Amino acid sequence: MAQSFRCAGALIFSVGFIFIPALHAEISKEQQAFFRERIEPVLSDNCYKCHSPAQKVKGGLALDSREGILKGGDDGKIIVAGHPSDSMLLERLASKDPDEKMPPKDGPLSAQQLADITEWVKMGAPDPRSAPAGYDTASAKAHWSWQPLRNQPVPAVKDAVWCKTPVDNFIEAKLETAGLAPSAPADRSTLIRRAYYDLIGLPPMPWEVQAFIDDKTPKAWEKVIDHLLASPHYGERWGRYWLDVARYSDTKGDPGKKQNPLYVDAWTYRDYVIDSFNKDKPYDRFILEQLAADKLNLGPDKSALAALGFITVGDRFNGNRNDVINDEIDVVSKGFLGLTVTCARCHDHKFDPIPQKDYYSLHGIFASTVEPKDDPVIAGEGTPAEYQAYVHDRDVALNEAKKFASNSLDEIRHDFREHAAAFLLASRADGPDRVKLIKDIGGPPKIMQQLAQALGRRLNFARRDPVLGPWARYAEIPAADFAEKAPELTAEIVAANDPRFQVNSLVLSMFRNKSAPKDLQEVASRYQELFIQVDKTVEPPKPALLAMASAAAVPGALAPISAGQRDLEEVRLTPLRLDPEKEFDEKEIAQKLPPRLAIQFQQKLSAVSKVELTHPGAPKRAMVVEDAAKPQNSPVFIRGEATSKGDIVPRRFLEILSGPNRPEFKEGSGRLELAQAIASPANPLTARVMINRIWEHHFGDGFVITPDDLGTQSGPPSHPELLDYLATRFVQSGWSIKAIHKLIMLSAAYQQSSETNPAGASADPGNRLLWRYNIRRLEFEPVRDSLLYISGRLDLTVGGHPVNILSEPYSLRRSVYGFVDRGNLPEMMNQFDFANPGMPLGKRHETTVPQQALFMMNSPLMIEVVRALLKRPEMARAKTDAQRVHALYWMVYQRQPKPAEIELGIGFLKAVEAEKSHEAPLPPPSAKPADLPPGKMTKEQLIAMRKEKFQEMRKGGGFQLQNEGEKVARTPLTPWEKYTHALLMANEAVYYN
Amino acid sequence: MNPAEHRPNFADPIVTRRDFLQRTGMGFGALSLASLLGPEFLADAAMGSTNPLAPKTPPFPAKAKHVIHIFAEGAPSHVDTWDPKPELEKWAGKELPGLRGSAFPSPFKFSKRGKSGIEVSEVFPKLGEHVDEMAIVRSMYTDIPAHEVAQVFMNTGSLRQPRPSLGSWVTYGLGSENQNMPGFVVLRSGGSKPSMTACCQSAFLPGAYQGTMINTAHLRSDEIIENIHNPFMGLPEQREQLDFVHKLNEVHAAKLQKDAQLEARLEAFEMAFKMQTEASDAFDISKEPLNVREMYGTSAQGNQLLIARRLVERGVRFVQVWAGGWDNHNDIEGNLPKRAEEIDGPVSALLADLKQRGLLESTLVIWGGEFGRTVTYDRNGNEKPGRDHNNKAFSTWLAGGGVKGGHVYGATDEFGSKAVENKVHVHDLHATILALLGFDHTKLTYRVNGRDFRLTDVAGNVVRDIIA
Repeated sequence: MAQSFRCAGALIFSVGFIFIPALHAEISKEQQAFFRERIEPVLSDNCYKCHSPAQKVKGGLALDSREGILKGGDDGKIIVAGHPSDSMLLERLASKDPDEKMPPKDGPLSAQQLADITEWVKMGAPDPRSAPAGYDTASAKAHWSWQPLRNQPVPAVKDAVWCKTPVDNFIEAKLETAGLAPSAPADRSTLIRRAYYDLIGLPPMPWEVQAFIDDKTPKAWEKVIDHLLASPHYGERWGRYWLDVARYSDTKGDPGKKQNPLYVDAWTYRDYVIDSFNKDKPYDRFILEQLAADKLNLGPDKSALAALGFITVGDRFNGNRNDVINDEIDVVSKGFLGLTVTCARCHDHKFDPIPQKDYYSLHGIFASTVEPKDDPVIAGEGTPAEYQAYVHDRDVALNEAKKFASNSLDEIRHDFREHAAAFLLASRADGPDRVKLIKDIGGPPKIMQQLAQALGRRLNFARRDPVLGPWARYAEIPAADFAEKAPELTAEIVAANDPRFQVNSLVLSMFRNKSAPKDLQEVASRYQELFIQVDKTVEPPKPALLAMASAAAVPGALAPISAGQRDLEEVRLTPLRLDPEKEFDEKEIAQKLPPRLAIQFQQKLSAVSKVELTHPGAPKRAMVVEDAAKPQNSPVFIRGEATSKGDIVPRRFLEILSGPNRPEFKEGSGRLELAQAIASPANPLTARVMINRIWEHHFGDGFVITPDDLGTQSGPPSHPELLDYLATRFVQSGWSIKAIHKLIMLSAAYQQSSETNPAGASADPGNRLLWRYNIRRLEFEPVRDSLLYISGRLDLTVGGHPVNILSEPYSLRRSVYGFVDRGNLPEMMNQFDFANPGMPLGKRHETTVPQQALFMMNSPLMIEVVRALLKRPEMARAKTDAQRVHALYWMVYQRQPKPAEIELGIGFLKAVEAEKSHEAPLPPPSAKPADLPPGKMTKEQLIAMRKEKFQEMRKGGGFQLQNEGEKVARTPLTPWEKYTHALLMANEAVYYN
Repeated sequence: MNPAEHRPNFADPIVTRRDFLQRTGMGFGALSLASLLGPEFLADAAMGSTNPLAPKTPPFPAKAKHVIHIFAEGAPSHVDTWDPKPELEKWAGKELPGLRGSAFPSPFKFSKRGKSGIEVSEVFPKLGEHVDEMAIVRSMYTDIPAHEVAQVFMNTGSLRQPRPSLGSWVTYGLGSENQNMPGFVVLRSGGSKPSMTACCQSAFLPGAYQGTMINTAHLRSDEIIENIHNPFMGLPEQREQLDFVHKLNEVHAAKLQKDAQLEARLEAFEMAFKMQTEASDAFDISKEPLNVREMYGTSAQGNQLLIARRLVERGVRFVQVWAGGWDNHNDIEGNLPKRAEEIDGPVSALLADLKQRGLLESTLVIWGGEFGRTVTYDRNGNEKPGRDHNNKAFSTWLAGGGVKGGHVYGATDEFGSKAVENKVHVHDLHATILALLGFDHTKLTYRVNGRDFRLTDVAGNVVRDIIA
């Protein structure tokens, strides 16, 4: 396999039950059962060994799939459906001829088995195993989701009284067809909790619940919705959903060697998303900005440039450009269009009508899009004093890095100049010879070795180097021919009339008016002399790099230097010469340094990044893109391999959405045109995909349960008419997301109780028809946020630099501001099903694992919350135990406790209190398993230990943000603390109904 | 095959009821299936299997129930360990035909070992005693000779795109037999390697299938698993508190809400409670009798493999042990035997110990790296020579768990520079491992965005010859 990625689109047929409606219609339930019970086991036990691609495919015959059986083998078809006597399959199964019979060794099948197979062929060989391969373009194009939106009429229903909004008519119509009825309305405390969690991801405060219960006006519910939609915390909740889709992360994942692993400016994209939701930015505008803010007329406020983070915050795939582009195509196509376009990277999409050339049309757009070296500043941050402090802190860190680089380079150059001849000869030598030469030089062998190696590689490309060029050319002459060929080359060098080989004047003087060198040794010696001279002549000035860098900081301030000085400097900076015109270029410096020094340098740079990432005075910068100077179309990569290029395809939109005669994109990269094609009211997918996402987050599932794929492989929508109705309204309302929230939440369907009932449970166990509201589990963020919120400690500041939300001392900020490291996602976030930032994700997993329980049971954060909660004024005001229980129920569950619950609580408190006298002492913190001897570390393990920091730094793992504050006191819990802790652990605290 | 087992989709881990309907292709339109199979079945599947780690039966009968993958990261030299190449002697120091660089014959002697008489290098005196348990694949090859990428490839079958690891797939397919422990545990000592996270990731599979990484260098019980230890109260107090939580949940269920997922959460608390003692216990090798400790040796490597056995014994599905240190660019004669000695005793002890406990039959042990090494001198020409990277040939051995012992499969060319006979690609190895565990690798799939993904992507042939 020549290339890695080999297709995300490769297709594996599952033998399971993928119901293709047409196929399903042809095969009756009885036939399916017959096949599953009587035929398939016989085939798999007796035939798959030789006739299935997973094992062998003898005679070209595969029997483990429907297609295989229909296709037959090398000898032709094996089945004539309906005609057992004409079917070779039965002939062979029944044969006694040792050359013919099947199965060849074990056979023959039992009489019953033969009879079954005969019967099955007679039935027409109904085979439910898999979908037919390939797709029928015409029928695929007819797939519902790429048909124009239809403005659906509101259906008439029998129970019109139940319907509060047109949404309800659509829901009720389906329920009536299925013979089901909607559930009763939820009570008010349930309802307001639902609304709060749905819209802002935080619970209501007790008084907010009470006010809603007491509000008897007809607009009470609407007021709650309006209040929440106007809350700045709405954007934090809904922005996070979009950040899942945008695979948001503060790190590069696989940054590539010697690259900074951090995205110090990614958070401005996160804040842009939150702000856009808060402002109810029209969704079409939201799309345009995320794809092409650089090409829009933004006016004086450039903050929308941060939107381009949508393109840039993905993984860097070790610097592989085509993988990065693939990721960009993926996020754009799944995110906005619910299309798996990246399946067409290596070949035409197997299911959806997306030809491979359409993938490369988009490839051209992103290949013609580049990132400028520096992210532009879009807004100041903090007070002027904070900014000054930031500039100072950053300069300190940066100078540290520069000083390190400059010193390292100068030291290496000095070593080189002192031993130039030996190095030059060593770089040409091989094997043990080289080792010996280097050993003779002395000095730390590792660095010497590395330098000689680096030089050796460099020399392969050094023929045109003004200083080392002549050396490289002499070194090419085989030793035996040297005496003969050297004069010729010397003359050529001295003549200096070949524009390809510009030689430094000082180097030239080593050969001009001198006899030709008699061997390579002599060339090396001459170089050695020159370098020693230069070493003496040049007073190593202020570190060259610093001079360069400070000069670059003041444009035009580079002092003019004479040609002679320049040549001197050129020799002095060999072999690690940096382009004097270039400013402090971290990438280039890192490349010049031997690996170990490069890593140390990277660590210094990382300190700079940390200041940029976290300093309150750091200006906001946008992770922008811009069009390449020369936008270009991309060729199709045959089988997805960049090395085998096929036809060049124009940059343009997908055929399935814009027809065969769609225009080519002409404006720069074409990103703006792409964005316009996506954000167009005529695009049937854009509105549907977003409406489906919104519905999912209100009900737990979308109309289509795969929010990132509305293609032919997605299940049919539960309410296609309602989806279109809402999508049409969405476009007509000017793409207002908040208007859609309100339309949905005002419906009776949304306000139903989540109580189950036998009729619904048996007819529609998955509640696809919404005969009740789904019980909803809180995700990681609202769980953590709620804990801090009800304890009165949550910091409600909106926006800002990322923080560490997981470790002690705990940050009090909302979880959406947590630092996200895609290369090293903390185990806790994994265990709580946090969205994997490796891919666009419209729907998180919802697992229940013991590690989640361990967090609730044992994490110090829980105890911090418990203690803060008990210090709230409501608790101080409560006079009796019953009143205290009452107050806790209101704060934790936002409802009145039932008398039995108060009794239960007081009973627990009393029992715990009674035991207090013989309460076990606190277990020692972090007990070591009993007297475990540490075990002698092997040498390799010791080395591995030492490499730890080194390696982690390289990939950015281990980058830790540390919060300030105090750790939770490890003191025993009081009975009230145990009780409160228990309330927080119970199911009711992490679910809403 | 039992037709009931041939409903792989139903045996898949069901994460939530909604997920059940979705992953099994039983969306709204597939309700007829419910009527076909009967409502009890659907109810069972929907209610009973919210635990992603619930143990599952593979579609095919299989001996191997557990895996210990000893990942010899760093790329061990095959011609100095498991793949003798006497022909190299004749070319010593000379340029090999068709290859760059001069031939570097192995400085180590090979001799016939075991009943099978398979030749093994002298660097593995003790492991040599176990060749009759091993199927040695001498014809492994992979796609790229760069450590990190090749390591991720060996563990996930993907070079760059994030994909679930072998351990995640196996745990997804089989669940785990011990609900008080993670199903997939990765043992490392000391620092984490950059590729390590990618090598045990669950990617698009649920987080429960992610490898739990454990640093055996500091075996503090609270570092084994996050929050495994409560610093505020003892176990009896916590028991009392949890019993009360259950009462709260009962009230909630009776008066307010009934749902399968609520019950699952309740179970998770019980598992977590037991995990606190059981997980610490599993890692506590001081509980082993002295003779067993001595058998494994008291090195960190020995401790690690002893822990691996304790985990498998407790029903953990997949244990990966990072046992690297094979990147012998220089002084292979001095360095390789040292490294080999460090694992020779402990791995031999593991095989012997598994066998004496009757666990070897059900435990698949795999040893191998991410690629092999050149048969010529390292390009950097060190004074004491080593070998460079080579993705065209390397050796991996498998033992126990239904593997045909005393067997050599495939061969490299006369010099050992590349696999030529019965070549086994990484995808093929993966397919074979899954086959040993009772899976058809083409059918152990997970649906994401309309595509069924699998460990072996679009490739993989099962090496039937090494399956007993």
